[in-house]
Amino acid sequence: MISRRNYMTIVIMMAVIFFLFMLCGAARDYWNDYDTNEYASTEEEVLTQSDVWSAEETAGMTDGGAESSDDEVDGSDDEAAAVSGTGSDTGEGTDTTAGRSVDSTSDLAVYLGDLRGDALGETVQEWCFYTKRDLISYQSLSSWYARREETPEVLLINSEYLDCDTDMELLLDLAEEGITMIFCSLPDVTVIQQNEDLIDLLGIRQIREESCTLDGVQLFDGFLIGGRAEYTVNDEEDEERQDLDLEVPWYQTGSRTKVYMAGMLEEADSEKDPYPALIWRSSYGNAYVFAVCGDYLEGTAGIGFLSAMMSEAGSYEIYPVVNAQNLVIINGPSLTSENESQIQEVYSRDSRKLFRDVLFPGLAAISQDSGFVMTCLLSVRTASDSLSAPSADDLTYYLKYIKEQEGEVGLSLWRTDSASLADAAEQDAAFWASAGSSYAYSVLYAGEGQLAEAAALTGEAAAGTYLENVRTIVAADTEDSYLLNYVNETTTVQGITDDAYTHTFSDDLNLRAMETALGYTTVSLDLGRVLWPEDAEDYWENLYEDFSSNIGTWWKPFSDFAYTTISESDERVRQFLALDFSDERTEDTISLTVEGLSGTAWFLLRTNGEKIVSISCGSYEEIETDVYLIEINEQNVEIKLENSTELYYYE
Amino acid sequence: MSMKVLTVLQFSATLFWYLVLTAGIPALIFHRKVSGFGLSVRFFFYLLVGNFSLMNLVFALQLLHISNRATLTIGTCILYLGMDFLINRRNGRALLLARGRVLQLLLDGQMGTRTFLLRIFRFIGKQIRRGFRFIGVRVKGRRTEWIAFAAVTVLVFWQYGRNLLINYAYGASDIIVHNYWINSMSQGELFVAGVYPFGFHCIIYYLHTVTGLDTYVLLRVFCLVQTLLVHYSLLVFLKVCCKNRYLPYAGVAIYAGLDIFVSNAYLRFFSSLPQEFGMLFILPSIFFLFLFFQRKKEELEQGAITEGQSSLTCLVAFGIAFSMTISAHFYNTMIAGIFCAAIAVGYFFRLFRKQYFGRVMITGILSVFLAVLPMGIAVAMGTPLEGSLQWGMSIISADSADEEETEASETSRYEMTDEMMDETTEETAAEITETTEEESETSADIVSASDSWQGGTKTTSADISAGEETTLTLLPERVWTIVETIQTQIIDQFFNEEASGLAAPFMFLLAAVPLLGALLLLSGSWRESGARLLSAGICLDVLVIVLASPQLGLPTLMDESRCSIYLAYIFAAVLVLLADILWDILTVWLKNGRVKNMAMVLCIVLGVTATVQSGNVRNAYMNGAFGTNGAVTCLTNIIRDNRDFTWTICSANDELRMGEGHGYHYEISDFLYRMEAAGEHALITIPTQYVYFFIEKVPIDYYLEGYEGSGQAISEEGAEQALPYGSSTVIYQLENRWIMMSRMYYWAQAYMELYPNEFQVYYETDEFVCYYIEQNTYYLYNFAIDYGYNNVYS
Repeated sequence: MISRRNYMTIVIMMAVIFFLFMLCGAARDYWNDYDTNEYASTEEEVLTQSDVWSAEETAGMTDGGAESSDDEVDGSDDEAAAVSGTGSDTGEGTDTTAGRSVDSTSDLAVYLGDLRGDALGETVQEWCFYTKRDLISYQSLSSWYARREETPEVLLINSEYLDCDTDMELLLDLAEEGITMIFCSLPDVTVIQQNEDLIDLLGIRQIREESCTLDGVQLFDGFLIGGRAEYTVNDEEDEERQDLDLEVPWYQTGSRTKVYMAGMLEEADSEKDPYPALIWRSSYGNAYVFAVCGDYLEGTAGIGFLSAMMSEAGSYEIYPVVNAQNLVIINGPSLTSENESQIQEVYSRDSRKLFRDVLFPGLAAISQDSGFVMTCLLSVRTASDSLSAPSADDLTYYLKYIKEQEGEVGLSLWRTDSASLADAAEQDAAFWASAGSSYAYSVLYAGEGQLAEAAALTGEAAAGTYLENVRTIVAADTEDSYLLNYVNETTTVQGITDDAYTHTFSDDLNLRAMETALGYTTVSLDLGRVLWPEDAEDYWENLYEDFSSNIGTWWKPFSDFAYTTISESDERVRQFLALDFSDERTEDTISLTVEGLSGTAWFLLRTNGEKIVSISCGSYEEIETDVYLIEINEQNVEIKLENSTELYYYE
Repeated sequence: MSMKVLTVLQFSATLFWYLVLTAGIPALIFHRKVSGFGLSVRFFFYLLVGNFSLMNLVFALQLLHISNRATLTIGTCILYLGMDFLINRRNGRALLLARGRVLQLLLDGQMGTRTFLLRIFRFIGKQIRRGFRFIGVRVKGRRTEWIAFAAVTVLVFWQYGRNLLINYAYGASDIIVHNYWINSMSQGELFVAGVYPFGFHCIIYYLHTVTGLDTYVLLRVFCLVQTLLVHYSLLVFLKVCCKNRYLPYAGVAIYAGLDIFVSNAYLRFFSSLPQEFGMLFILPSIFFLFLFFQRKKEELEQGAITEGQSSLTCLVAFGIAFSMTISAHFYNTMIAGIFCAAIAVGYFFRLFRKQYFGRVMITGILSVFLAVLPMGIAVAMGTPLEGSLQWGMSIISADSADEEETEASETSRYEMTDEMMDETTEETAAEITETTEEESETSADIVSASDSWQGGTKTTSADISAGEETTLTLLPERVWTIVETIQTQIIDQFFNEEASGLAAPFMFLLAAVPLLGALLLLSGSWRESGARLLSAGICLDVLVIVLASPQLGLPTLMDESRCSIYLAYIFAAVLVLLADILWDILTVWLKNGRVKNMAMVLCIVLGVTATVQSGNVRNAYMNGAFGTNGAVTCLTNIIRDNRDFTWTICSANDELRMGEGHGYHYEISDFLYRMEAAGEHALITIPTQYVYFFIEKVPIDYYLEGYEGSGQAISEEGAEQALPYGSSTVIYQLENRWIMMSRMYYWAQAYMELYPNEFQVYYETDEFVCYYIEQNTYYLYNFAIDYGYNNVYS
């Protein structure tokens, strides 16, 4: 028997504990400001297309580039020259340390090739746009040389436009002059074989074989961010991942060279018989000559390789980056019960419960483990002919849930039946009108080939609709546009760089290249596959295993970059596109001057054996040996460096 | 951190570990056994036992090929614990049970960990308190003596310690050879270059393996440890022999501070060398023999053994010390042997009695046997004698008819030289080459002397060739000629130029000391002192003859410069022994010992003041080094900064052995040869992540004089010279080094132009520069380039 007094005490205690627990839940629910998007920017703060860094004089640019005009410079014969960039040189800095280039402060790039319809040309153009370099393009080396006014920082060569018989003398002269050259592609091996000057220029010691089949490819550290990587097939899983071109000529480089990427051959002895070089640098005259054997520079990933090469060409390299790591959950959640029979058969529950009880708890766990913040692009329905009505309650539930996960909610208009986005938007409009959600949906998803459609739905055209808050489009395919750009005056596009379910060897190279060039990644995870499975591979347990291991592994080296939602990333992209900069080095101090800065911007500084001692008006973080992520808030920043080999013991 | 501070810390650590392991632990075991002796004698007893134990432990484990840190540590514990049980007659079983009981209580939980630790800390605290009390008791009442001791220590530090802070590199060319031999022991290879007295190497190897101090660090700083102890051994010898308490300190001060000897007499103290290490055991073997005669006599008179100071202990210590003179370096054995022979004369009245003779002889034979045993085993296992030993043995057995043998020995040494060059490094060959030069010189001396000593008049070969007639002279004239020859040699090889006037008094002493000693034997009260003086005097005389042996036409047992080291050492001892006896005789009327001592202190103070006033104090001599400070600084940093075996140093030879066990080495000569005439068509790869290039901007003189101090810096002129070729360190000597370094410098400049971001300066001074490059080990750089001087043919 217990006394009444004790009995009362116990009861009160239980009541208090019960109340406290309930209170936590109630308070969390009460203060969950789920109907507002904390990441969405207000109209006044947003930078627009008119703020983008653009060329004073441009020509031949694709419409995805900076604002352009067709100002073609007459060239001899059928050669077209294009100029892009602001030409905003502000200082004649003197590079007092290492570096073989004659004038490392010049930001003019010359491209020998065609910018239109040429994959390499597009890469070069995009790279110059991001790194705020002026670009001139000629289809003949001699034409450019005849007209040249300024010594360029770098000469990028598409070998298709190089006449190895007539251009070699000029190339050697340019090398003596100290102009950095990048052979974005190499002439055919038979052409190289017959040209001693070219062999000498490229630092090739021996052409071991005209063609060999590699067992794998190795990327050495210190070039792309992310460290060393070995792309070899060791097991079955690797076989699926192997998608690199393994048929290459076997170039063996000699002294004067540094190899950044090489093939692997199991049978060869690397010490006696160096592996085939794929990307290397040769020192010739006063210049560095970079050579790329293969098509690694074609596509967006090429910008990373170009940035890495420029870092290797001087004593340091500083360039702006976005600093955003995004994870987008496409078509998740879906507010309508769909494909019920198949979902019931596979998961023994309906699609609403599948999303609530299976998919999202798993996603939340991965998000917490990896550090990525979810941007969930919800879908009102994924099939135009869905019989069920979307649930407003589900919308509220997910808004709250995602808010608790500190994520963001955007919109997806994707349909299984490939309905146009305009139709889908119209179909969903009724729901949004009835749902009464005041959440600012600032992100819209555009699937493959849908970017133009999505662009047409946003901006001024979206005024008065539920899409009026959309500020950025996450595109599976940026088509003719750059990866990061504007699609109209107010709306940006952010290209998806990776699919979370697969990570092939070339995906890995691309990832490293993207991080090196932009500090940017957007990983997509399409729940439409789960909702509409085509085979067992699309079952959640299989996909979960794939994407959880991918996200937890391949993005780890880049964890020093910020994890953002798409709206946060949008702000950074706008700033990235808007700014221009110049840098000047005096002894051990780099003076960075930034124009078009309206908030915070990030730069990547890559040194060669030097470390940052101090920085004014900003902060820095070493993300890898000799690679620093710099955050700046002011226009003028001074970065003080010192040699990192300071001895512990001294005389 | 400054290298100077680091050096001080390294020296402190070396001194600490050496004393703890060789004196500290034996002290815990033997303190009761030798409690009757004075503190200084006890210290040296412990030191002898410790060194002897560790040396032989290393020998045993090395011969069994099981020597490593674990076996050495366990072996040391077993050895010392065994001694403890044996000497102190401990009941091992009871002790183990008692300790086991405590452990059982701890494991059962009946005793808490805190209680257990508390007990241990209390025990340690008690021992520390005892230690302080012990020191307090010793210091109290002997303050003047302790002050004198401190002064002598400071003097030794000042004379020989400063160099450690000025020159970080090795001070002698053959240290690198010893470094190589010690490194080989770490790889389980004893006597890698042939059988040689390895006592010194065993101790350094032991310290390196057990304490983790790098061998090159030990070889840099151990010289001061051994030099300090060599001076202490002189001090203890004098304290044993002298009646006056303060004169021994004056003796050490004379030896360490007086500027009268030639530099050869002390130059080698700046280096960690086996011979100087072995000097540590010469005088202890003598003073323990003296003590044996004294104690044995007392024991015989009293008919009982005095507790804690038995004659047997003295005899054992003598045997151990004598044994270690052999283990360390044969030259020390010669000196100890000469002294022992002199003692046989000085103590003839006692030695040949049955209570003494048998014991001394058996001890002597046993000590030789113990020292030679490891070497004998190695020889029996097929290891040949090391080159310099073969030479030494050929010299000892040589006469003018032995030319053939000498030639054979010479040939074998050359063969060995080639082998060693091929197999390992040039350093080894360097010593061989050095030895060869000595031998040729010596052989020439022998031949010329045998030819020229005809009828007692010294004539040179040159004289003979000039056709001068040799003359027969009378005996007194011959004696006078010998005396003159000796005196000339004393002036040339013993006293420095300023002190050459001391040669005549010294010659007088040579005759007077043994005479006085002999006279004192006749007296009752000074008989013991007389015997010691006579012994020391005879030893001094023989040493002088050894010094002058080439000029006297006698076989050269020892190089003159090395002989002068011992001569100065024994001379200081003899001088103080003489002074002590004279003082004792002159102050015989003074009955108060305290007054006697104080009067002596006064005299010493006056003497020191006069010496300082007259400027006869030796200025601490800064020995040149066989490497640059920059190289040692870089090496120290490289070892600290990088994981082992991830780096290679490309330099002129020394770092090969200094960095062994941590990284790799690439010879500059190989590097340049491979590029010669081939330029970038050659292929030079070095498969480590980091590669460092050591280049002397002002090349040092290596081995030979003549280039040193010329200030000849690397230059284009040097690089334009033909690349020197050779199979030994000749390529790094004199002008050749200048060419090599010039070539390397311009290679580095050219390479830096090609790789400005990658190939960087690691460290640079006016005399030295170190470049480094970090490599991708999966795709190595080719270091072969056309640096502009590849096509100069030799």
